[in-house]
Amino acid sequence: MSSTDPRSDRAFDDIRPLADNGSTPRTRDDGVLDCGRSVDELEDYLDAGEPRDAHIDHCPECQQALDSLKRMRRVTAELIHTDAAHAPEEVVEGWLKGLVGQLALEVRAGRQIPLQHEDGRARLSITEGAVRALIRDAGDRVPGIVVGRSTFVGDVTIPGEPVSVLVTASARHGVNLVQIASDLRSAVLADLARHTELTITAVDVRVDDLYGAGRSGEDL
Amino acid sequence: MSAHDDARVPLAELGDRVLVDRATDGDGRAFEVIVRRHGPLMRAYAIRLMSSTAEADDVVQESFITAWQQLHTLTDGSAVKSWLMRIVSRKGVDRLRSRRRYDDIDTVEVAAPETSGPESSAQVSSQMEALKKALANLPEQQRECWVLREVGGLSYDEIAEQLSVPVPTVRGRIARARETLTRELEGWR
Repeated sequence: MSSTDPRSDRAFDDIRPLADNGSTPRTRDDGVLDCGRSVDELEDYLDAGEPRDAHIDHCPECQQALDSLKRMRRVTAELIHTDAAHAPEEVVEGWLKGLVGQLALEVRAGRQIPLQHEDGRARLSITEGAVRALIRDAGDRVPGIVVGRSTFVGDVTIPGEPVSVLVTASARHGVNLVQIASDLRSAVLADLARHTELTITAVDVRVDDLYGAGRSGEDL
Repeated sequence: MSAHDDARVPLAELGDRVLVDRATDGDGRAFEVIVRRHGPLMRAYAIRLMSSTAEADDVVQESFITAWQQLHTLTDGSAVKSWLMRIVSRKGVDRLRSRRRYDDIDTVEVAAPETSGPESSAQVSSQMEALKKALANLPEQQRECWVLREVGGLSYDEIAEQLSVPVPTVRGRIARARETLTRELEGWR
């Protein structure tokens, strides 16, 4: 399996004697045109946006090969995008159903974050994953911003240890970023205080993405 | 804990980067949006690579399972689409390889040339149909290399590595595939 099987390739070619009307530029097996340029070079030339080239610009063979390549690329893109546009909804639902078990298996629980029980005897904890979900939920209550990832800086497993949180977020296009980051910070701080015993020293919000541009009729 | 207000969280409007961030942190709903957004393109790629719709659907399913497990290794979430396409390349190649191994021992089952579905009659160009047929008729190893290169965007080196064959072999297969496909398309100019 380490090399091509020329026999099988030929066999296929032989059953399909194709009309060669002479308009197709001939290439050798290594993809080199008679003028000496390789099809690979022409592909690079296309990828580069067809920059000026003393040879290619005036070589009829290259021009013909370029036309073929462009047409092939266009038809390929058309085929792939047509297929993609016609992916049946039930197939997509099938993938999602198949993933449910997997998503549940991999809960991304992370570390255990201790909670003191009031009577001081029971040992309770909450997972890092649950706290991340809590931070996302807090963000979801602030219109105009959506939480991405949360990273804890500091050892969350030690009660009382100072911990800061870095939260990435995507903001709706056009909102006041300073204001919305501050709203998110307050919401996260409030929920962490209510549901955990973490000693939060800071919530740093990093807006690294925007959403909604040009989607809801808002210009700009 | 607060109730989720789904209407307020426009996950489907979000960019890939934040969806990947959320999914990496364990948000299954964000991953669902990624599946809906990119699954169809991954499937279209896999269909041409495998020359089989049923196998393409399996390859995409496997790719998403791997993606969910490996998501934390993706450093730039905005590149998730090409990352997913690469996973499809790998899974597709693996499956073709084991299919060939199986075929060697047992019956050689030639993939039936795909007949065009009902959707294709109206809007699909004759050139597309010609390409579809020509691809299905290519020798499998040529088709595999050509699709990895032209649809998957892999370099010759990457293809050679995936297939464990020398680069000149890849080059030769692609050149032959390209020549056949070009000829087939000529008739539909």
